[in-house]
Amino acid sequence: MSMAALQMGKYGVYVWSCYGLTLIGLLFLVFAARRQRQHEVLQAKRRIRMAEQSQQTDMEVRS
Amino acid sequence: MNWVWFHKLASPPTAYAFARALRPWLLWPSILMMLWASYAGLFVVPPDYQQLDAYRIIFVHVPAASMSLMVYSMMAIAAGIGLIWHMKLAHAVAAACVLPGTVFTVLALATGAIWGKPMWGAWWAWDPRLTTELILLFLYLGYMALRASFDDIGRADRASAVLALVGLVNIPIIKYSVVWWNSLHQGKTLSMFGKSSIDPTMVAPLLVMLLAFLMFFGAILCDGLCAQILRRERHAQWLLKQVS
Repeated sequence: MSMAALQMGKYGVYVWSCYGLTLIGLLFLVFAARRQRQHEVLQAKRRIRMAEQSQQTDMEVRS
Repeated sequence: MNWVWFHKLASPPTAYAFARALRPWLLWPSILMMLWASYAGLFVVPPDYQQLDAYRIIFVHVPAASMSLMVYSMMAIAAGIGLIWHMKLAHAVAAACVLPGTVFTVLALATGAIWGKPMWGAWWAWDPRLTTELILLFLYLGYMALRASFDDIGRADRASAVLALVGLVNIPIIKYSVVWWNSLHQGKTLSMFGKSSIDPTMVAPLLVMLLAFLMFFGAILCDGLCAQILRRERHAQWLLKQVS
């Protein structure tokens, strides 16, 4: 691939910055969406653990 | 017609499992398609006779702009279904649409501004297409802010659904702004029924990129939907099996 193909005349900087921005935007979406889901999974796990602990404490108090 | 499958899919456990299973089948092919379309758009197809190499921005600008409109329409329709039929999953779909929709709109505006500089000599013009697309960004941001202002998910769903439905009027205005008014922005490039205004060699990478963006959005929606279902079904028994 020649330098001329990468430079695209005087438009290289415009074209490459658009593709770069798009890449950043799409990568952000992948990580943000995954983080959101993982955060909710962790919250759900925490709630389950807390519910189990309080159940255990109740049983210990009763016995 | 048998609608049992639809009602089954509308149940949160089935939708959660379906979204989790579907996500990789959308994400990885979309990435491969984007890579191919980018390579073809940047290096294979010939330069435009008028815009020379600057037109290559079209392969990311048009898919981002199309998705910004499509995602908003989908968000508003899902919110409307949730509002009318009290379907929680529809509200979850609407809420999961807002982040990708906002990013697609920002990308459409940013790549449009960068394309505008060498072609029009200005980063921005108060042109009907650009202005209505900017309003779309404010609608997405407003929807996000409105949802965040409620602690109760039910109230957030109802209030944001009304905003999404009101904002739907902006979509045909964006789409037909280049037809209704004298616009600096060029007319439509692709036509579903008539002849497209670009050379046939440029159509294939553009169509592949459009499909890739659509599938990519599907993958992101799957993740967002899973997060929304987990938040809404926090006390459900089926969740125990899924996350433990």
